[in-house]
Amino acid sequence: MEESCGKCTPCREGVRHLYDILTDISGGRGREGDVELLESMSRAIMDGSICGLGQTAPVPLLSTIRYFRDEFDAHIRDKKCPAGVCKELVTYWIVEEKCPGCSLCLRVCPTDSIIGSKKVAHKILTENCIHCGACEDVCKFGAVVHG
Amino acid sequence: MTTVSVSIDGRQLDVPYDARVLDIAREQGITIPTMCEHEHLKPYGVCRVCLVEMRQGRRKKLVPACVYTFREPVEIFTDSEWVRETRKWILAFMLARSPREKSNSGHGGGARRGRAARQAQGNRRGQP
Repeated sequence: MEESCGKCTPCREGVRHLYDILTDISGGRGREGDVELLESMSRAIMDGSICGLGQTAPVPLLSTIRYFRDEFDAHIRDKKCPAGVCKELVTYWIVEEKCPGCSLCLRVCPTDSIIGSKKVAHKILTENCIHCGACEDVCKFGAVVHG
Repeated sequence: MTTVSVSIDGRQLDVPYDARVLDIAREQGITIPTMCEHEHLKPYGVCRVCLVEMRQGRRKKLVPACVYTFREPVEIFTDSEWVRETRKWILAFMLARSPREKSNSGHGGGARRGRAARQAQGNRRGQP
């Protein structure tokens, strides 16, 4: 998208549309029919572009649709990211049995969304959590998980 | 002057070598929509609105009628399903940029713009 020179319409405009719709899907704002929309749009972009950039830009998208169609559907229908990659669709929580209450995550949380006191299992307040994953990175006990 | 035997929408023609598809089509009364084409400008072939289907044997591709010239015997289809579908998307992309497109304004309007493009495409379904 950033590499399009902007000379011809399908590449300049179309690839941006693909990106926007894809961003919507990964953010849980996808709608039924978006996958078909992407496919049909990709076809026109590939056939209509002058150079190899526009002709190939939609290829990786079409491949992911072909091989990971179920993941697209999960994002659109269930607003879930099965791979736990789309930040906006995952939730973080602490497995109480594993948490010794070291308060490391509590201190590292940028939005102070983790409550608890020393030696007591902590808890993540999902309302304020920005899904940054800092707590998971810092936890030595593997008590912070997401999905 | 050398001529080339070509066909446009099924009409067999002998056209001058290097003649533009757009000019020949106009002579024949075939309308090809254009956007970036203008009599005072050199043909640039970037808007892609004038795309037509070119077939040569088993090879087929979409070429812009405003810059593609006849140099070998080819078949041109100005209104095939493939041409229509691609052209519709290109026009939809342009329409999505129009100031009248409400969803166009403000941040995050992008994806809605994409859908606006689809809508614009839908509205024009069935019209050349």
